[in-house]
Amino acid sequence: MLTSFLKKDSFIKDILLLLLVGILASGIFARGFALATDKYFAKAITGVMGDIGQYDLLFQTREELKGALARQVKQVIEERFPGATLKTGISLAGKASFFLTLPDKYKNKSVYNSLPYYFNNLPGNGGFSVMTEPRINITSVPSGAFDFLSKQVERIRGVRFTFKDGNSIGVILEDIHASEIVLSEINKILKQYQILEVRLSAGYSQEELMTLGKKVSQSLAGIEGVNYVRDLTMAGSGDEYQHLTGTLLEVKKFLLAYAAEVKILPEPGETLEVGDLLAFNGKNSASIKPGSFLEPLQVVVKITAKEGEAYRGLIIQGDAGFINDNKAYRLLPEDKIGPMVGFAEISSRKAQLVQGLDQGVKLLNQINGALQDFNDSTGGPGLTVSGIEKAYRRLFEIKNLLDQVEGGINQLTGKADRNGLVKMVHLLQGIGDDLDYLARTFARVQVLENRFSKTLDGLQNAEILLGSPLLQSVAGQSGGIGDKIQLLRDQLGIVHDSLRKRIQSLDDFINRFNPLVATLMAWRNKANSFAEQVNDFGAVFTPGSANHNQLLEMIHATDQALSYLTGFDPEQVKSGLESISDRLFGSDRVDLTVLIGQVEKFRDALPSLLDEEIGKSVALIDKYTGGETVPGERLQVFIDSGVDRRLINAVIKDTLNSSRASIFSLPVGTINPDIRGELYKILAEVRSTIAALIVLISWVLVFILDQSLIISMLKMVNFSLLPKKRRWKHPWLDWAYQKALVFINPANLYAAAVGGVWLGISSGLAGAKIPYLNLVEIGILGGLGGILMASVAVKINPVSKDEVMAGLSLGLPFKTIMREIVIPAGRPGLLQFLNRWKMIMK
Amino acid sequence: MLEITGLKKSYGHKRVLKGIDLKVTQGETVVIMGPSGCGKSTLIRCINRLTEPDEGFISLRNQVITEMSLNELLKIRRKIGFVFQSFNLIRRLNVLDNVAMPLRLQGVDLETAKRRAEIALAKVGLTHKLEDLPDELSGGEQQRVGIARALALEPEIMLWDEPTASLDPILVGEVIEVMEDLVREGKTTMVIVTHELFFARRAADRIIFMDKGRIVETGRPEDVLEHPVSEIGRKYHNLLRR
Repeated sequence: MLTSFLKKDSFIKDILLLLLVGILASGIFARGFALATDKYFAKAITGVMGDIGQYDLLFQTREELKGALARQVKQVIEERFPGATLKTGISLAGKASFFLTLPDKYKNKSVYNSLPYYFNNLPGNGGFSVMTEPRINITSVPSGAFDFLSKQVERIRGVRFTFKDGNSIGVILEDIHASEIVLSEINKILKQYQILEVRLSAGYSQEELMTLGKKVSQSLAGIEGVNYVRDLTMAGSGDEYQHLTGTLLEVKKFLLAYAAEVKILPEPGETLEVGDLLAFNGKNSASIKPGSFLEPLQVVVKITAKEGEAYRGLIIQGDAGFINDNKAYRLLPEDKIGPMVGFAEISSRKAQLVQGLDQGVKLLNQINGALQDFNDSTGGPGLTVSGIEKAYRRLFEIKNLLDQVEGGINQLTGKADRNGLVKMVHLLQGIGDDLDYLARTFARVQVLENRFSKTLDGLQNAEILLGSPLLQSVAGQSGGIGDKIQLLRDQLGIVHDSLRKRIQSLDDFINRFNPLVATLMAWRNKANSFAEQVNDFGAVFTPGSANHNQLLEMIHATDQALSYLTGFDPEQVKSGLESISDRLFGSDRVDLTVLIGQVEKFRDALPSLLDEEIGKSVALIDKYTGGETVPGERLQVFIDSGVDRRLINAVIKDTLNSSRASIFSLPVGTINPDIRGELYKILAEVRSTIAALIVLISWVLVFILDQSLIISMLKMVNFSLLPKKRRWKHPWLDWAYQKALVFINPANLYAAAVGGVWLGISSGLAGAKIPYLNLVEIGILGGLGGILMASVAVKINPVSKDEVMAGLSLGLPFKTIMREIVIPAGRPGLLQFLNRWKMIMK
Repeated sequence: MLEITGLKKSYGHKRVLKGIDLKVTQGETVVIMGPSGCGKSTLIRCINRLTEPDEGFISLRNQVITEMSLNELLKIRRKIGFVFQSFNLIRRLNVLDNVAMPLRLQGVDLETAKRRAEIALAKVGLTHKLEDLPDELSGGEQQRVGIARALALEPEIMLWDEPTASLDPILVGEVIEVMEDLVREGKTTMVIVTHELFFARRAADRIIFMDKGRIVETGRPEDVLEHPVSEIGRKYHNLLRR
């Protein structure tokens, strides 16, 4: 069938040939043109950017400054990057460009992060761009999350290093082929986190936003499953000025808390306003007289706020310590002193703080000294315990000897055993030193307790001084001075509590030791007098005699002393004394020596600012931060993704105490391929768009010049696929049938088929892309366009009916009529061109 | 030679031919007359199936045209010369090529075709206009080219569809003259649709009056024009009398 079709001379073959040649020509031409365009632009890109990986930095400046820029860059190369090469690029629109290629050894994170410092202040505000390839960019990264994300990305295999490039993280790859894998891994990392943006209603100051941001992030940290939270509110836009602003606001907060607190109580009838200036007598200045002029040593306060009937102020000249009396005079323009308007209550917080710290150091040193003295003089708890034990053993020996003496008394003569008496007297005389040691130890414990007790109250005062009001003002500022003061205060509190417990223990010890010492001292007195009495070896202990009674009394006293000593547990006494004399305090084991060092260091580190300096600094900060824009009345928190959003919303709303806050989840960064990749991607789009345009133009031309003629002929022939004379009884059915007769005809079907096939295939061949449409849809579009063209084909390319009728009357077949009559009379096109080989009547 | 039986044709709901029966003998010149819209042109176009009849039977020399395949029809059309009212020349071809074209497309070699075309053009008196394009000719000349084109094929029968209707009265004469010459030659059977009453009386062997899709009267010119029996015949009779 195919063979017979191929052999047969048919106009269908002409049409097929036309389609084939047309589609091929159009597709190839469109593709070729698009490729040529593509090549031209690609060459232009290479001309601008170099080959892949060829250049690392691109410098641009104004044409007239290119010499200066080149000199400066060369100087940096000599100093910092020996071996780097600088190439002059093309100049476009008055902009000169230079390309710098760095030796491989300089391609690292440290160098790339330092590039802005090496190449700052380039002539003519010239800048540079990093061109190192292969590269992936993570854009729109909040600066607060920069380091965290960078570290994670650097762990990916195939990543050489990362660096900061404006608001982007530049990711330099080991190899271009790693690009896909690294992209996928970076995507995974980015998906692990999110930025929660909390939109607030208007009216928040920067300080409030900063505080709220911290509060929200602290609240979110408590949610289960949250592993990482970071407040980005003040770092939202990634602008370094935001960091500066945040820091300045912290400093301002500290300074305000550090400054003297001035409360103005106006005289009845006097009205003051925020911003008014008041003058005070200075200690070393002449006395203020209304009408005189302000002197340098007088103190000036600026009213900053109204509180009920009173006002708050800030010293802007002098210092709280300079104020001689509390009378406030209005300061008029040109520094003229006005009338007295009220009185001031001034409390210098910095003086309070310094005083608290000084007192703390002093008292801690006292405690340390007391402990040192105690340990040095007593030899420590071990010696004390061994002294008690020694005394016990001696007493026990004496007791035995006394019993022996008593038992060895001759009943008749009343004489005691001489040897026993000698030994006993010797022992009685020898125990005195041991008992003296015990007595001295006891006295030193009492002294220790006394010194501790004296320190205790002072320590509490120091703790109070540190706690108010400065600490309250700056408390909660993590990493700030508030934390440090709080820490010192806490440690003083630990020492204070521990000291109180030690005093209690010492009191207990004294209470227990006191009777023993009293008993031992009483025993020693008795023993001394007994020893003197029995020193006479001729002493008689006749029962009932005074000597005998004294001996019995001595035995009884010794028993009593022994029973006291037996009641003491040496280990308990030892550990008790050890804990009392320890330099480490509390369960936190606060080291007294270290604590003293810390408090001293902190005291020394405090700014030695006058109140006027604080006032001026605050004014300066206000002036600066007042001009800074807040990133928006919003909070930003960097947090893990995948945490229950409802929970997050609830926590945030609860923390802000607002149900109206809008909470959004934003990506932490967006991946962008490198510039070259982007350009090539754009080029590919341009290429396919150009191809599509050419294909569309060709399609329209083919329809206007060629296909419309065939369609016109088909329309003229008026051949119908449906029976023309058929009528339907139902009017609507008949109407539909008549419409179908109009639309379902060979001309329309041919136009749709040719239009669809032509546009679809030639688009495919040309690599053309029409936005949002695939090839099949492009084919359908071509089909619809074909039908549209069919509707106007007769007007575009009319066929002479007379000539066709002549041909028919002459017995010419359709193909001959087409080739000899219709096509030659049509518009010049591909059909006519191809037809020339078939024509007889040329 | 030509036999038509029961020929019917409708355009939509309009019945144009309501059953035509007609026989034309070899060499006969038949003139069909009648008011506009009576079906004369449809009848003559149905003969070579330029218009497809709905019903009926047409045969030429015992070849049934109405039952022919497309190829057979193309062949028989070459034996039927057809002269159109509006000349229907090929505008891109000059006079000679217009006439030679059917010959060339039937496979006749160029030289023979040109020679035969020149002969045909000589018959209509246009040998001096061989290279002219149709647009360069007057209406009468164009029609004479059309006649020559039909003649060049040496047809067995010539069908004329109101050949002078598009011409102004001055030009009508030259066409009529050619037609009368051809009739006088008597070689070709002719069926002529025309309103030219005097030509019909002079040239026709038989005149047929049609009205409303039917043949209402037929006969020799002297009979039907002098003693008409039909209404249409009487109207033409009255025209002759004026």
